[in-house]
Amino acid sequence: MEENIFAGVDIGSTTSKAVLINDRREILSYAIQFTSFNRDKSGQDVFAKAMEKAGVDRKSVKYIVATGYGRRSLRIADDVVPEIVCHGKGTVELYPGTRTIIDIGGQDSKVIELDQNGIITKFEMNDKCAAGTGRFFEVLTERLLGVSMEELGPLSLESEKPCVISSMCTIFAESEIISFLSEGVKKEDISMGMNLSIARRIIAMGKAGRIMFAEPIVFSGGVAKNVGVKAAFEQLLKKKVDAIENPQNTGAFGAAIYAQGKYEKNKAD
Amino acid sequence: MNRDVCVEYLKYLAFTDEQIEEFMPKFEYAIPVLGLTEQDLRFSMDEWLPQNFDMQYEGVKKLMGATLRETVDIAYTTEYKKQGVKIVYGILPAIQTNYTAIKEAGGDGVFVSFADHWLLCGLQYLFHKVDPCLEKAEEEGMTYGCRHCALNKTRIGGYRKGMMAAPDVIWAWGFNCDEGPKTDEYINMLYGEGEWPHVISRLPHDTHWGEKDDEMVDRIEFLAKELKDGQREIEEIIGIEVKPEHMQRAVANCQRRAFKAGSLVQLVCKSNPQVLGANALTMFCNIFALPMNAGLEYFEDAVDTMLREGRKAMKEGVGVIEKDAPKLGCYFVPYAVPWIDRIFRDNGVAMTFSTVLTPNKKMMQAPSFEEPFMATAEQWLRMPIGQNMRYEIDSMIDKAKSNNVDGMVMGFFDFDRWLGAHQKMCAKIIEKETGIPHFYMESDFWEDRDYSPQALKTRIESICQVIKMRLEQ
Amino acid sequence: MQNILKELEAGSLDRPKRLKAAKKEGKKIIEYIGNFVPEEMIYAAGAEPYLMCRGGEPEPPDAVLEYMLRFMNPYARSLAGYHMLGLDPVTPVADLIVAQQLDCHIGRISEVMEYMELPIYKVGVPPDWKKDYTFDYYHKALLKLKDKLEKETGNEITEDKLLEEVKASNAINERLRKIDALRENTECPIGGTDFIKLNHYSFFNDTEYMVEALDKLIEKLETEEPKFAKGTPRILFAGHIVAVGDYVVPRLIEENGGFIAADFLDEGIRWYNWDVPVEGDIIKNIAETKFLVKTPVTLFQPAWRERVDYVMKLVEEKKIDAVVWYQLAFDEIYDMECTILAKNLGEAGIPFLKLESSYEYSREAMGPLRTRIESFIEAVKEAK
Repeated sequence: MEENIFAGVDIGSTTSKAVLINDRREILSYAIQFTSFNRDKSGQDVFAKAMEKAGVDRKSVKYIVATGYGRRSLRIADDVVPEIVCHGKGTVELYPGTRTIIDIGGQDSKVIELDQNGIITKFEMNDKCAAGTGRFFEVLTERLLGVSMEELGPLSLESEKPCVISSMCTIFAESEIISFLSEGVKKEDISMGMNLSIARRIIAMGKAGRIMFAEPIVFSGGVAKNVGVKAAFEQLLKKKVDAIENPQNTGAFGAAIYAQGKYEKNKAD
Repeated sequence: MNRDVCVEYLKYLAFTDEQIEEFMPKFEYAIPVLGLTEQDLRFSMDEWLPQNFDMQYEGVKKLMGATLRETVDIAYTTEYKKQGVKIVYGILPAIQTNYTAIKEAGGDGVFVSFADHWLLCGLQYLFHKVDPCLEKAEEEGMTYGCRHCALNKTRIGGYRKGMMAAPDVIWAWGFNCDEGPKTDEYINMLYGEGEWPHVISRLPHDTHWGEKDDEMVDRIEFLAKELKDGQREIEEIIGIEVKPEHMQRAVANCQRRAFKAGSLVQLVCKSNPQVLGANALTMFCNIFALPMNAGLEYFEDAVDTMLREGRKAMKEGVGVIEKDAPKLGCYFVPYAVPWIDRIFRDNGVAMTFSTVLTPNKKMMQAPSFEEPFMATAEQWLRMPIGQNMRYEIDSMIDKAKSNNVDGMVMGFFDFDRWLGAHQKMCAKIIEKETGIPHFYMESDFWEDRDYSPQALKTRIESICQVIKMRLEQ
Repeated sequence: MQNILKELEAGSLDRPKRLKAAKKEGKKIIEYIGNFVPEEMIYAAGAEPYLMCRGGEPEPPDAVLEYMLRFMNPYARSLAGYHMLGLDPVTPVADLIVAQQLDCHIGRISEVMEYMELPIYKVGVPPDWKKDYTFDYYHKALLKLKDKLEKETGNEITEDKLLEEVKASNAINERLRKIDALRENTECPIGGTDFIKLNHYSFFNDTEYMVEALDKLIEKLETEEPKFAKGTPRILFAGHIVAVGDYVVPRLIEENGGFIAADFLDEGIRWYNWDVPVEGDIIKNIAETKFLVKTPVTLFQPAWRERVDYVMKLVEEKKIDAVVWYQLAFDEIYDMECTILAKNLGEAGIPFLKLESSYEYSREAMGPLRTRIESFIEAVKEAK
């Protein structure tokens, strides 16, 4: 019998991702590319890429769920599901029992609380300014420190005396970093200072929304690749934080699981 | 904590050997409660205070010492409570009369202070270390993005971090503040009802443009009723009766302290070269505004010392800035962020008095009423911030003219929807009516997480340049 | 149903024109700010009232920044902002603007208006409401307002005229309560967004016309097809204010799978559950109803215990699945209340979503807003 394939397409502000899964929820392929101004095309392209990688044709894909900010633009989608819900779903599938998700993407950051059944009970989002997002790192570290995102995490772990970056605003933090650099403060201390600053802000955002950061805590989104930020969360929360191995695909994976669920529900109806 | 460092620190703040011996047990108790370390004490005496304040004066050292005494006493409130001492707090903005009357009546059996203010000042003014308190409150729901007042956050954070005990009662005056009194209701609702007993006194801000609040008898009567009723409730809760003689003594003491503060302001504004920086001057002026449990007599001694030293310096022609440096008045000099004043001075311009804390002519006059609550109500309404905007402007014009300043700096109150909201309009009107240039700076009075020296430096430099160019013309 | 709503909307939009015509005939135009200013007294003085309550657009709040701190809520800033931009058709012809003085936002904005030489009259409302003398203060403020209105219009506010206006106002409340009661059934033909709009229309349409229109609407609603399916999450929409024109958030809730089954707002809505008694001293009755009887507004003190209890009661009685809290940027007291409510609802296991608006509804801002709402409703559905 021909295998049913389900697709999740996450059209984010910076990148678009697609995941294909089969009936057993096994990931068949994952594709990623930058999101262009034409979100529909970005979604379709990344979906085509995922199909190509998995060696499947369009006909075998039974249901497509789109998620992410550009979800409504994807014309081939059978349904749309908001990304917070998809992130929750995808993470819990990959890490059963997860109670807290910290997700830091390019433009926003989220803290999601789940109950023992994997149902979202609370979430907080930082969506208005760049502070506390991947953009914060992009602006402040890559440009000012001349260190790539990949190098940044390991570098910060070498810090012996992290500096205190108190400004919560990207603009003001920038001037603080410039002044640290002119004072000759080591790059590793500045980058760990940055990590602690972002972690502090996101923890405060979650706690203000009465999220208790129950364990197990999973760290996802592009910034989860940065081992220094993970260490900063662990230091401040005094709890273990697990970074997802492939942190950018949880949303698309969750969307694919929704696609499967919705397909089966429609069939049953 | 190394005891020698503590002794060195207290000596630096002009404590005598006897005073050190007497104060040390409480100080050692308070250091961990306040989250302070040896490094903090070293930073305070080696960098923060000498960089930002005129520590060459014994008066300024004593001012810091009085602040430290009060902060330490707040950290000790948990112990006081165990000893059966009644704990009474109040909040800004208020005047000290009724609170000091409670202290007059209760003596050592009652602790009276504006705990959030003095805790914030102790931590920030002396050690630049209030952020953990603020962050604690933000984590517990006073969201960062809403720009809540740092004083209210300190009340919440300080309490939750165990730096101050829950009071037997807090008397919150909300004559110019919505968030302050609501913070007490907030603490009570969040951490258990009855946890944070509070008495609230409010006054609608409903007089019209230019009406003279302190001359409206029905307004004075209503406010007096609020004060009397509030005090009655406090007396019932703490079981201490405040008699008319206590109130009369408090009114007289407040009057005396207001006079001293006024004299110091005049001295500083008239001196050329200016003998004292604005951040210390404004802090000195708190002497007539804020109650203290342990620090008030030391505070008054500090003012007396400063007046003597200031007069001497004036005679000798010694100042903290070069002669003929331009002088700026300010709506309220941000003394908890003292480097602002320093940057002005580094640019050859001196900030001087604060409108809010400088007694006006009316405030220096005897009250029109003998009945102490009417007298206090009238005193409050005579304060510039107790009045409608136009009347406040009249008072500001009076002060700007009489202190002969070259310009005024407004702002620093972006967290305060009462005292910060109208300043741009005040600036426009006063500049138009007097020709005195006014500058506005969006910034915070109590903390500097968002407005770093790097962020404000350019603005301050520009203001200084403009002032100098105007004077040269 | 839609036709009636459209007619009422047209009547609201046409109000400035009618006011200008009335002014030509010698009537006084009196704007007012806040529910503590009784519209009934303005009508009884033979003047035409106009509620200042526009919002939902980003430019007017920014227009006041030259005079005002940035960190004031956008509703208050809009009150002066529309006028500054020349977009307010009524204020230039208003003979008087009566503004309640309860909170700092309206308080200072009133002073911006005074600065602009607009004819502001202030009605003081002491927040510490559980004291005899603070009630007297508000009562006296209304008596002073009566004198002011009589002087301004040259008409006496008689007991009979005022009674007539109070009865008319109560009649609108009664009809709104009937419509509100329909929302007890999820398969309801009218949603919360339209219900809020109906409240707005009631401020701008003539009283008699409004009563008739509401009667017609109630009749229609009885036979109308349900707008919401069984099982749609029932949302309590609570917070400060939905200003006239600020409908994005309630609309997004109902477009994305939620049903606003109940509301709890302080301003921009009639206090339709609290009629003013028609026996005895009417001004005193008005004062008592607004100041003492109605569930306290958040600025009152104490307020939060009673308000939390009221929300819990609504949750139970209206079978609420989740609460959406809607506050405006820099609205510090509502921000604090939100934390308290979230704690209490969390303990009761009721899902809670906080939304905040700065009246910035650009495409960039709408994305995250929609995501929040959709995610929340999905999560509520899943939990159900």
